[in-house]
Amino acid sequence: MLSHSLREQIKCRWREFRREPSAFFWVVFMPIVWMLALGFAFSKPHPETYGIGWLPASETSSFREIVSEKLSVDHQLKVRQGTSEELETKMKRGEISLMVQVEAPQQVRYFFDASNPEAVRARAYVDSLIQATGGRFDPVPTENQAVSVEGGRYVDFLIPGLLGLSVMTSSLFGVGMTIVSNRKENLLKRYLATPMRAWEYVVSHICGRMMVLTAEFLAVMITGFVIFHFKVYGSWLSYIVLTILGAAAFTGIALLCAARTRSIPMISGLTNLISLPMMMLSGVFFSKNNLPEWLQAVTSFLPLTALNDGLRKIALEGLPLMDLGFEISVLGAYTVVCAALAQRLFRWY
Amino acid sequence: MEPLLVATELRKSFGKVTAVDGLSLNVQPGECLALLGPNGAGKTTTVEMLEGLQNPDSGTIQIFGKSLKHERRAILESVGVMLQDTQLYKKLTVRETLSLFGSFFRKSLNVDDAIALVEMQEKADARLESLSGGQKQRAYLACSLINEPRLLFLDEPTTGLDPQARRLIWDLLEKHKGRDRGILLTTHYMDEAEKLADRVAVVDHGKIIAEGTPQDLIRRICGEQILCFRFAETQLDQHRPELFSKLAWLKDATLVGDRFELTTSNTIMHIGELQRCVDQLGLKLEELEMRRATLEDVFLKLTGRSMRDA
Repeated sequence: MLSHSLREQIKCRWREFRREPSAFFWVVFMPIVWMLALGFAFSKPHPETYGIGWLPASETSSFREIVSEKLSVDHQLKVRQGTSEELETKMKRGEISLMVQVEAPQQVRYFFDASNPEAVRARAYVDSLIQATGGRFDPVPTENQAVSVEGGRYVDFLIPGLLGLSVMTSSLFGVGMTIVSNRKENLLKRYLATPMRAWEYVVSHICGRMMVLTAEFLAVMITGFVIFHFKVYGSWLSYIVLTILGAAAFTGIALLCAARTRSIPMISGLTNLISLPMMMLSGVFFSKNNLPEWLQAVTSFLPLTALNDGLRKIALEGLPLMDLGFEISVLGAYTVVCAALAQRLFRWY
Repeated sequence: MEPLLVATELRKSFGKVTAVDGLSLNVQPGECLALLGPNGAGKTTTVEMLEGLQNPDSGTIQIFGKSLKHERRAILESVGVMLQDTQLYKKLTVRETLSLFGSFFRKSLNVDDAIALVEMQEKADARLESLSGGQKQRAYLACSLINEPRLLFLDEPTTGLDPQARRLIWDLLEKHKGRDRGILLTTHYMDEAEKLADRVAVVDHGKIIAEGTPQDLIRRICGEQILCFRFAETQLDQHRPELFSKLAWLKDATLVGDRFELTTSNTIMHIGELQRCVDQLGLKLEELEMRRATLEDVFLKLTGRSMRDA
């Protein structure tokens, strides 16, 4: 079925991968390390704490004393005393996000940056404490109950994102670097001087990708099952098919980046340029819902966003592939367009 | 017998630079042809066109009687190639590398036989990254011999190797030469051309400026011997006109620094005349030596430049 030369080249891809310990580490262990670190860090939610600055007042008052006492014993607050210059420096360093000044008889001033969400939350928290101290009475009784539905934990959100991230980085760096260094070292040129067919070289890289993909897929998923009891609610087959499609899209992008590049710094810069924005904007670690509307619209066309969203829809919401028309079109378009362009532009030396 | 390779009037330019400028050559069965010339003379471009890696702007190439343009893949089945500075996969062993290259051809040698050809039996299972420069180059040579090529292209095969490793490669190539096999070698080492080549083509600025067997070229262009001499300092400028009028042959000599180099087949006569002239003018010879001419002298004589400076 496979020609002799294709078989040999696939063996060569496998050996290259297996004998490069650092490649193995990045592909297999990095996602696991991330998962363990973040999964455990966020598995037991504890209330947010705020650093606040306590500003001096022109004259002291009994109300001021009471508020000061209340704030300093609260577990969610870290109160810093100091002159306004000292406190401003602390604010610049991010140690505090809010400054409070209580003047006699009952006058409170807040100093904070309204565009900093943490500062806004700190102000709301502190204000409600002070109002209660001042005698505010809440007429409606409330009660908080913790919710932990299966598939709704942070780690359930995280695992598909990490799989997407791992597929992206290994495809972009693996394929791009290998081709560019083979070109730089005249090996591609040497191949061109044999009767070997060009498509066999490319197919061998695609098969090599599949082997790496299997390794990283198993690493992420098995860790997810064993440690975090991750569960795929949709079909496993859809989940695997979408992962492969994601790898295809990133391999296409990598082939395009490496089509003519001759220098390693150039290809690694190019790869970073492509992967870094996606790492931040495609909702790997945190939901992209916090981004401005227009940016969300733009990022939904990024391949990593499509892959992550698709994987989450299958794993967490149990949707079938049929309902992922948009994600599949985005990934398919990247694969086809990039591969076609790469084929046009490719230079052996 | 039909020549293995015939190239006619090859031309290739890169932008405004003409790398190869109407170069024709042929390689006969059983022959090793060396393209000798300084770096940048157009040797590599020429060889890469002959290997089908670059398209000539004009000119034709026939290998084994077939057109390279139309039957490239069939031709490459029986061609071996060693490019300049190629890095093979450093994580593969010699054996694995050879079986990879062997798989590209319809017919190839048994891997063990190829390893034996380059005498690397003890290193057969070592990864390429653990080999010395000379061993790597031998492994690369084995890759180029794996399909038992009738025509072997070697582009600067021993550049950067230590003398011992070079000699070993030469011995291996010497063994490879056979009745129906041809080698096209490019080099800027005179000794390599003299050792391996049956015929040398001196290349400069994309053209062949002289061609023949090494001995023939030396005899034809330089004569048998080189006579070198140098006058004591400062004397030369004062006595230049007298010297040139008394010794008519001095104008044929090349001046290298303040040293005259005369190529001659009648050394004894020239030494006699030189001695008489020196005595008459009361000059003093600082240095006088005689040596056998080499291909280096051929190049110097033809271009007025030394190979290393060019």
